[in-house]
Amino acid sequence: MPHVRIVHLALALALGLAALAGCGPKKRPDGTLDAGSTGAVTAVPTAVEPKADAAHGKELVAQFQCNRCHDGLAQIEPAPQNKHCVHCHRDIMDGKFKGKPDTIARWQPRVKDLQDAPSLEAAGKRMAARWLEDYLLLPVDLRPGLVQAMPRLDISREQARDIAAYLVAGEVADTAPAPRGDAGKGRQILESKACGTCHAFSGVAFLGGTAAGALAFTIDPKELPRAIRLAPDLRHVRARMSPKRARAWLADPKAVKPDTLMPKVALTESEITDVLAYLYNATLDVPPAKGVPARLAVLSRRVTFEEVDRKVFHRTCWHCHSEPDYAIGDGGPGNSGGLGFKPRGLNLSDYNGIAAGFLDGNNERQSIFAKDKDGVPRVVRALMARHAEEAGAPTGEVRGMPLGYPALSLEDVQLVETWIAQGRPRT
Amino acid sequence: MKKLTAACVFLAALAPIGLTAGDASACGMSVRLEPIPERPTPVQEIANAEKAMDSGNLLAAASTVLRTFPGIRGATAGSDPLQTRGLRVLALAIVRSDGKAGQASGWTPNANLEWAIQTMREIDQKRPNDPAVQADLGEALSKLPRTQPEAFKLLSLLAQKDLMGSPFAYSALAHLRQAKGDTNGAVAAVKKCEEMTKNTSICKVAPAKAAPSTPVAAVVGKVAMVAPKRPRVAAF
Ligand code: HEC
Ligand code: HEC
Ligand code: HEC
Ligand code: HEC
Repeated sequence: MPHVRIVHLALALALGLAALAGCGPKKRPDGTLDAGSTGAVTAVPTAVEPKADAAHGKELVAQFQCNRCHDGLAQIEPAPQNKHCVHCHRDIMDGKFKGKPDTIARWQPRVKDLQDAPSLEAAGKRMAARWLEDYLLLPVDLRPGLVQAMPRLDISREQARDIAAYLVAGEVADTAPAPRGDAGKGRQILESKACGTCHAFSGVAFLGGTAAGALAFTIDPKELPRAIRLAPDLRHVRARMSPKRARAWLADPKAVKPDTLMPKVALTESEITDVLAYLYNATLDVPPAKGVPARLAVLSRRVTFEEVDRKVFHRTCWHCHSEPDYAIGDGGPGNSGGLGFKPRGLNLSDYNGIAAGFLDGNNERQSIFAKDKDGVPRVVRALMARHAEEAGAPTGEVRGMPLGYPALSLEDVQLVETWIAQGRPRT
Repeated sequence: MKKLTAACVFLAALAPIGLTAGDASACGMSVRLEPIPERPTPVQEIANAEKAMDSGNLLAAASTVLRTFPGIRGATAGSDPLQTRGLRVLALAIVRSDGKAGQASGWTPNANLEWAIQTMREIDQKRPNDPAVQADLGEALSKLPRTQPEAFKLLSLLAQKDLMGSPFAYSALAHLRQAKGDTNGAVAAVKKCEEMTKNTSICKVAPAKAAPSTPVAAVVGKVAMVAPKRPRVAAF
């Protein structure tokens, strides 16, 4: 692979900023997990904790269809392209999807932000089981440059523990404390080696501002945008990986995880020690609490189904909530089931389907327009729940929609609510 | 995008019900893909039939289905998604034309309606607990006096739970309510019907014949009055 040396940091930074700018509605890290799991590296499991079952974890990973988004799962192949929530979008972006050129061109802006998820290769060499367990139960935003999020799945604590055991694949927790390097020097190295080209580090002063003459790494410029999208916020390193593993990573990322896009950065042993000192010991600001926005008042103008359908249902929702007989039997995760969810029978692909509601926990049909005790229609609840999830709130009674994707704008929620308030006219 | 391989990469189709733009289904996940104009594939044919039915062109809808699947009268619902869609279109075209569509091969309107009801029942069995299918079934059942009580029960329940999005089903319910002398109920159903279609003529309900307790004046002006064109609404 031709590795082009990048001399213009400005370009790289511009790309980085562009990637950040493109992540508009995505939440910033909220640190919810930081508090609980910072000690994960040193936490010693209590004696009463039942032993995790990695074989069962593997079954669960198949059941939850993690391979529809993640590659690099041990002994589990990625899902076929026509089921794969990342590969298909990426093929559309890369021009590998067969179809009329103008159709593909129309799709591309829609799937541009949905073409990446981190591969889970060598997860055990990077992530602590305890962190994984907590993360699966309540995923936080790890990558400010990535629009798509890890969805909140319907996973129990026991299941999360077994999945984590499968993912770490026998790697044992290592509890060695953070190294005693010079954190101040570490900070300088992060700047001079331009780690901020790809990485955010929330909670400390902005990394990327410092221009270095030439970069300490090489990367194919074609791969750089993806590397930026996939680079985690370094805030989470201390909770995710042990210092020993971080050291191995910094020494040679590809030796740890062959498919990684992080290039090898020239660092001496003592430089790594200093970087680790900063990564693990720098004081982190508490992230600003992100409030849940309030709904906008309903519009006074008339809203037709055509408009709501075009801007919301047939744009964002229909893909996961389609009519099975139009999709070779699979109406998507929100209808026929998938990603570990039971079939909920909700078809958002046409007026009739939308009216026909969803199956509740007792397998009874309920209208998505039924109002709760506060007079809020169920579907509006779901749309606002996604805003709450993005602000870090735990998953409530109604799961946030669209599942794992950025919350709808308040204007779009308003549109849906207005249409409902106007009696859901079809014409 | 010419060959539809066994691996089933993509099936191009025209707009299904209610959609303006071209739609397509990939195996697994629905995506929108404009068809490349060629001789229409069965998927496109059925999508055309659905479109025809949606615009009220019932005879064309029925004949398109019959041309695409000549043996469809004997097909089993649920065995093949595309054929199931074909069955649904044919059955509904028959129901909405009072048995007239698809008569070519010597089927009387009554036999046609019986077939349509039976077909909708099969689809309902294959897709249990789906109000969209139940609404179609209810509409079909409302056509024959024998099955009207069942239609009334089914459609009333769906309306009560607010799970019905078909103007035709609301229209059928309006007729059934009217026949029972429930004028207010009929008016409400007509209103729902009218919210769901541009072609509000399908929502019109004739005044009840045998409902002496209902002041006819109350009906006039609330429910659009038309000649009792819709046949066979029994009072029960
Ligand atoms: C619909 C797509 C999707 C599905 C399904 C999915 N994930 Fe994810 N997952 C993501 C995305 C996107 C991210 C990156 C999120 C971020 O960086 O904030 C992610 C992040 C992760 C991470 C953190 C990885 C890292 O390198 O930071 C782990 C671990 C993970 N997922 C495990 C799982 C497991 C286990 C399952 C199945 C139980 C699963 N995921 C199902 C999309 C998905
Ligand atoms: C067969 C290819 C394919 C597969 C598989 C696929 N998608 Fe898509 N996806 C598309 C296309 C094409 C679009 C754009 C559709 C359009 O604009 O009409 C899209 C759009 C989307 C959107 C809407 C983005 C927006 O603008 O609001 C979401 C969300 C989405 N996909 C999620 C998923 C998820 C989740 C999965 C897996 C469960 C998945 N996709 C699998 C092709 C695919
Ligand atoms: C060209 C982009 C790029 C540059 C430059 C870069 N990284 Fe990375 N880094 C990544 C990507 C992408 C990942 C995620 C790897 C994966 O999951 O495959 C990563 C992962 C990491 C991780 C593991 C984080 C975790 O939470 O799993 C650490 C630690 C890290 N990088 C530190 C650094 C440091 C320190 C520098 C500068 C010396 C640096 N990186 C430079 C792209 C980059
Ligand atoms: C990535 C796939 C996906 C997308 C995109 C998606 N959904 Fe869902 N939806 C699901 C799944 C899976 C469930 C079932 C969740 C469960 O069982 O907890 C669901 C359930 C629902 C429910 C029922 C939730 C409840 O319990 O009340 C509603 C309402 C809903 N979705 C609305 C929407 C709307 C509106 C959109 C578009 C803005 C949307 N969904 C987009 C996957 C998706």
